[in-house]
Amino acid sequence: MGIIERVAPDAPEARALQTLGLLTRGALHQISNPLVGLVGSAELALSDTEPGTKLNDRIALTHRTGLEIAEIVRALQAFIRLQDEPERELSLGAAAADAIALVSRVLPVHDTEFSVSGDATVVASPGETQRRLVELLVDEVNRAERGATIELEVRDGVVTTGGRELRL
Amino acid sequence: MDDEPAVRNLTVEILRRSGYNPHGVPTARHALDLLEEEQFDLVVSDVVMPEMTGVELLYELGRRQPDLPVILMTGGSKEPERTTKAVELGAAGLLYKPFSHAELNEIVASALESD
Repeated sequence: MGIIERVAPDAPEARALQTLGLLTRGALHQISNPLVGLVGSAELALSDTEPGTKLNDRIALTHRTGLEIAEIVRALQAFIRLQDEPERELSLGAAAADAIALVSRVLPVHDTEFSVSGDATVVASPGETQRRLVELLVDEVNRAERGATIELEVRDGVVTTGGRELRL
Repeated sequence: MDDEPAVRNLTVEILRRSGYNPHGVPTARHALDLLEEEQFDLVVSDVVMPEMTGVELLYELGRRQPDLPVILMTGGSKEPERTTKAVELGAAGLLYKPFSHAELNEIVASALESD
């Protein structure tokens, strides 16, 4: 059962999560323009400065840092866009791998290993599937010890991990 | 075109360094005026802009200059359905912000090649 389903739809927690979702959507849009300026200007400045100089090194650090932020923003934007896609045939193994990539990019899970085994083809909403897989992963991350490996097993339209299952 | 000066100026600079001769304008209205006066090979436009959106501009250019390719740039999380539909209805490409120099150059070259 997902985060939203655990509380009544009209409960304050559910409304707060919905508001947070709307704010996040707007914030991602607002962040994207300054990021274009930051990363793009750094990339131009890199080519304008002499490699090996302190200035070039500092610009390179700014560029790399900007790219890291940009990757987080792009991952979240892709997740939002997925919510609008209609139901279709999809690979559950690939969806699980995408969910792991999103969680690894966005959350501080550097000391957690993830793996996926098996695959299955299902007809489902890509956005809903991704959302439920992310919730499953987040719950597992919160329960896991530091340095743990979280293994997702996909079989017959069911994803299992840590004794729990997600049926699609 | 982009109403954000930083994005507009940077996009112009990247394309200039790649050998193109771009003109930056802040609104769709400015773009339509400029297109009345000069010949262009391609339009690169933000989606979310005041007065006239990039999607509305795409429709307007489809009426006025149907052969002129239009690339839309978007922050990706506003108006996703309309933006996707715009591509289905004839935008030459969709560029998600934040984009890299390589992504901008690639989509511009691709749109000009297929024109």
